[in-house]
Amino acid sequence: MPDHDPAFEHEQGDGKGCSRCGQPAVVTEVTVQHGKKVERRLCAECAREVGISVQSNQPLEQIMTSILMSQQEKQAERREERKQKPEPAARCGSCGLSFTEFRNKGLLGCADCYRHFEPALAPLLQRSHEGGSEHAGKVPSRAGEALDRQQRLVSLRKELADAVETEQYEEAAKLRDEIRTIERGPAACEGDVSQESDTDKA
Amino acid sequence: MSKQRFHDHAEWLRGDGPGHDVVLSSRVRLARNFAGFNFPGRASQDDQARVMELAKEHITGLGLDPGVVWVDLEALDAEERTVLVERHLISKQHAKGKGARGVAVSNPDERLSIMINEEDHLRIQVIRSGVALAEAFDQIDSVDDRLESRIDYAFSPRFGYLTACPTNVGTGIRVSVMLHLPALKHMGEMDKVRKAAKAMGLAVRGFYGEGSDAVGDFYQLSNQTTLGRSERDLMVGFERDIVPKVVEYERMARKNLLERRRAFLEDRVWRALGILRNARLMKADEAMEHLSQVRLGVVSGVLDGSGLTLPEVQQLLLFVQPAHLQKARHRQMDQAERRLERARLLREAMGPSA
Ligand SMILES: [Zn+2]
Ligand SMILES: [Zn+2]
Repeated sequence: MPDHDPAFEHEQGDGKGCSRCGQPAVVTEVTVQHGKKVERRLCAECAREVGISVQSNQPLEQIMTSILMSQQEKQAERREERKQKPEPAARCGSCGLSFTEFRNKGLLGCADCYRHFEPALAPLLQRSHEGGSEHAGKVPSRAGEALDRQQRLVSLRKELADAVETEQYEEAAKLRDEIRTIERGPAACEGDVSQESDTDKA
Repeated sequence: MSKQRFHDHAEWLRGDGPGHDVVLSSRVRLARNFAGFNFPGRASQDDQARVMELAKEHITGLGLDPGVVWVDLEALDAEERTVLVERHLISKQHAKGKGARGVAVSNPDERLSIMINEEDHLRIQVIRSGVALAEAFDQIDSVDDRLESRIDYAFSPRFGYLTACPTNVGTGIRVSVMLHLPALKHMGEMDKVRKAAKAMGLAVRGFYGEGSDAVGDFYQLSNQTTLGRSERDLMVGFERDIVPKVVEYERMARKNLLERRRAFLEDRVWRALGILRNARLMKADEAMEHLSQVRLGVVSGVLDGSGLTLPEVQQLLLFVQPAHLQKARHRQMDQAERRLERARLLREAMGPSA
């Protein structure tokens, strides 16, 4: 993470030259690259060329520019992060949303995203719901045994955690399969969503 | 939307119901999505239109009593949509949205509204005057039951009702109360209220929700988490703990003002009324601030004998808003004209020196 946002500092005309062409610099561009503060002095002409406004007495524009720059910087940084730490499995099989797109917009694309991104989502959900990780409320009446399934899942997940802790990997694999099967269960949204919407259109 | 479709009086500003001296309204909303369709933000135009069709068929097919008015937002102009925002029937986001989207509103009481294709396929809302969370919840729960007997909702046993934004997943419920806390504000106690709310995991918002300032000392208190806690549990927390505490706190502050700083209170209230009765130009936020003081005067008895009633004062909170003002005057106005007309409307409504 950058320790400060990029900003532009207007030169007081101390005579130092533009880092691109050597003419008197009027603006210093400050950005953060790879965690280090990088300064670049620019003359009016070069500044315009790289898209920086140098009109004085325009604090708002400066602020806007620095906000835009900091966003670009953050995006670049996110791209960097992604290279180092692989994102959860590329895209949701149903709606095609990538986890990065989710992180940028804060919205998921479809019901299946929850299953697809579950390992990455679970800790996020827990954080934003004060530790809540399992649904504890109303269940659609037509989901039938959904409530039973939910309770079964809770206990299976506990068993799984135990199995992993005690290094019973075969048992853990079996439990994992069982959990997946129940999760896919008969609830409408847990079916193959893309097929359902195809039928709807037909 | 014809002028007759919506009454002048909005349900949540009726000014009755228990605790109405402090609580303007109680609101419950549920976020729901149809199984088999991408969430609205990622739906194709066709799918969005299909969701609208299905929603219309099922919502109007419920045979609700009172019946609903079906509003296609694409067919409304910007001002008509703003009227709906000002009445708290749709969100700003929904008004500004794109593509096939709508709202069903129970008519004439406007207690129930269902937004279609906002952030989620359905955002069901019930709003009531005063402290009436249990009633609001019972109504919304029954509408939800009836809808889900016809529609497959996106639901997972682990995560509950699946929503576009993960902060709503689980119960998909948002419970909120609109509070009027002018005495706590006068006593400089609002920081404490905010801190307490934060500690209880509640959000504090202004009159027009997310991102709006607490103009006129009106605050919305709502839950922030929806996963891992049942609807009932949340409701009980609001009804037994949160709401009574804040109401009590504000009442104590009012009592304190009345008993120990009566001249200060009377001065604030009468000064505000004087401005509303005499000003020639008025901004919406300024009107809200003064109406807030007048409201305090009406409920605390300071304005007894003035002839002003709570419902009148509260309806003015709505009619000083830009779109409602234009609606009342049957014409479009620019900002300068609105200030002039707003001041005139207030003088007419609040007499006697008009
Ligand atoms: Zn240069
Ligand atoms: Zn998806």
